[in-house]
Amino acid sequence: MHRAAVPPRFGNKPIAGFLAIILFILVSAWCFDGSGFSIVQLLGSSEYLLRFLHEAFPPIDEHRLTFEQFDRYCLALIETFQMAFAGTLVGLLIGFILALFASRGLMFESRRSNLLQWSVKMLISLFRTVPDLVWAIIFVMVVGLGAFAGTLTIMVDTIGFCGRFFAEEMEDVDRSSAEALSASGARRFDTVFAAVVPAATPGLITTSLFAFEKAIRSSVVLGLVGAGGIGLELQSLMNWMAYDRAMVIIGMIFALVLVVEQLSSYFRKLVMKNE
Amino acid sequence: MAAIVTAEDIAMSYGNTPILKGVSFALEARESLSLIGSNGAGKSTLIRCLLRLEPITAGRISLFGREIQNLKSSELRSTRCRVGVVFQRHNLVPRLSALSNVIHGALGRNTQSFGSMISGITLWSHITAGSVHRERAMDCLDRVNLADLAHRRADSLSGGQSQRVAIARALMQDPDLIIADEPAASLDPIAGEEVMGLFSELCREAGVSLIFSTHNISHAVDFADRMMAMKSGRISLDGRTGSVDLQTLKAEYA
Ligand SMILES: Nc1ncnc2c1ncn2[C@@H]1O[C@H](COP(=O)(O)OP(=O)(O)OP(=O)(O)O)[C@@H](O)[C@H]1O
Ligand SMILES: [Mg+2]
Repeated sequence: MHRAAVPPRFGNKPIAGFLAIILFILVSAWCFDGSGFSIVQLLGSSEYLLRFLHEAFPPIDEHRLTFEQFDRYCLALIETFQMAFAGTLVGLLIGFILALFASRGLMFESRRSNLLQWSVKMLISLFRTVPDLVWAIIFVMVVGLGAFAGTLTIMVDTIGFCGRFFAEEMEDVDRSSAEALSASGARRFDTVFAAVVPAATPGLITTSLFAFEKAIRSSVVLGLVGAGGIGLELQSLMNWMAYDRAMVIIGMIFALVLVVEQLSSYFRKLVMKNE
Repeated sequence: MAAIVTAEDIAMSYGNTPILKGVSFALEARESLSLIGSNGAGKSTLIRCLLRLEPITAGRISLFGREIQNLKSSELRSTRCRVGVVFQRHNLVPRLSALSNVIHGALGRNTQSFGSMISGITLWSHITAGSVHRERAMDCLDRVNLADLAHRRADSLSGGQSQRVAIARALMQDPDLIIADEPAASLDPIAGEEVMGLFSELCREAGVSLIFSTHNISHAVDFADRMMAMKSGRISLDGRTGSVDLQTLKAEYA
């Protein structure tokens, strides 16, 4: 008996692998050079850091933080949370609908829908690639200063994030059960929702939770351009060099982000356990 | 009697590899046909072609007198919904309950009118399905002795249990033709006999036609009127089950 030869260890193209590693090293060196990365400079500026810390502590002291101020910060923090939550929710919904069409060969036969799929993908990329601060400036211009502009920004951000990952999750689902349903005469639309979406749910939920975490983090900065939330307070304090009270706000933001991240990872584990 | 399935000289290839090389046969109403042949002979591929899940490169296929190659998608759906298919790999929706998976069998019947758009939505899961469908799905599960596992998630079922859920889903379609790819492959001998018995009972009593592939020669002989053997993409034997002897069958696997 003559059997087939053992396949080579490093595939057919070992040279290509080595070249790829060398290329990676060269690119990294080039990028570190261009980014001005310097430990020396970082250590050299420690005096400014110390000044900031000196003026920031102790942050809570009756001469510095009044109860009214603290109250206002709390309201701003709550507003931040509300913006993030509402914006994420609407963004998830729209992102999901767009993802259905951005997902390869999902809603239509692949060859007919190529153009549509490509355009939706581009639209989602546009939402994602324009930075949130830019969206915030645009929305402040359109709907005026305040929380609504921030909410719209979060929404657009979420569409960009979830549109992409929802689409990928639905692409990764094994299509054989959907195929079985279409072999029994089910409409495409029904096979998507009866077979593909249920199989993708854990991924969809996980992505949604990540989107919310991301929204909480970015909603903090939106205030810097007047789009509502606690960022506005932070910015004016920094401008006034009131580092002590700024420190209070940073602490509050830290607490909010931490709580949301903990909750989110708790829910994620719950979803995974039911997997 | 009119033929339910006709295949005329069909050819099919994956890429440049020809898989089916001129397959012709016709299946009469109420007839049951078993399909045997060694691994990779093309049985599953033939079944996929019959449902237009794979495009054929030559020949003609008709189901219930309609040539499926040229059907519009709505016509294709109304043809497909008369065929209950059981795949070799079951193909259940993993995260849904057995009951929901069986209820999905009713989706195909629901494609015709515009109002069906809405009622189709209710069939995505047993939670939203109407009680008529829920009851019928339980009956179908009961016929494969699985009613007590109705609530279990499909991915928690054993191979044989999933196979039977897939069969129940096909029964839910109330099909005129059942096409089953190795329906007894993952079943224990008793359950296998039962499922095959159920199929041939449907043929005798409900007038359903049947095509099934199998590696179990005694199933192929006992539960079909007629058998076909495939060998590297061609039909190498086609005859009444009573008329083929074991010696000839063994030769088919050589
Ligand atoms: N998606 C695919 N792409 C390429 N080749 C395929 C594909 N599916 C099947 N084949 C090839 O087609 C041939 C026929 O496969 P098929 O699954 O029809 O065989 P089968 O008779 O059902 O075998 P088994 O008894 O193992 O189920 C095999 O050689 C297989 O490798
Ligand atoms: Mg097969």
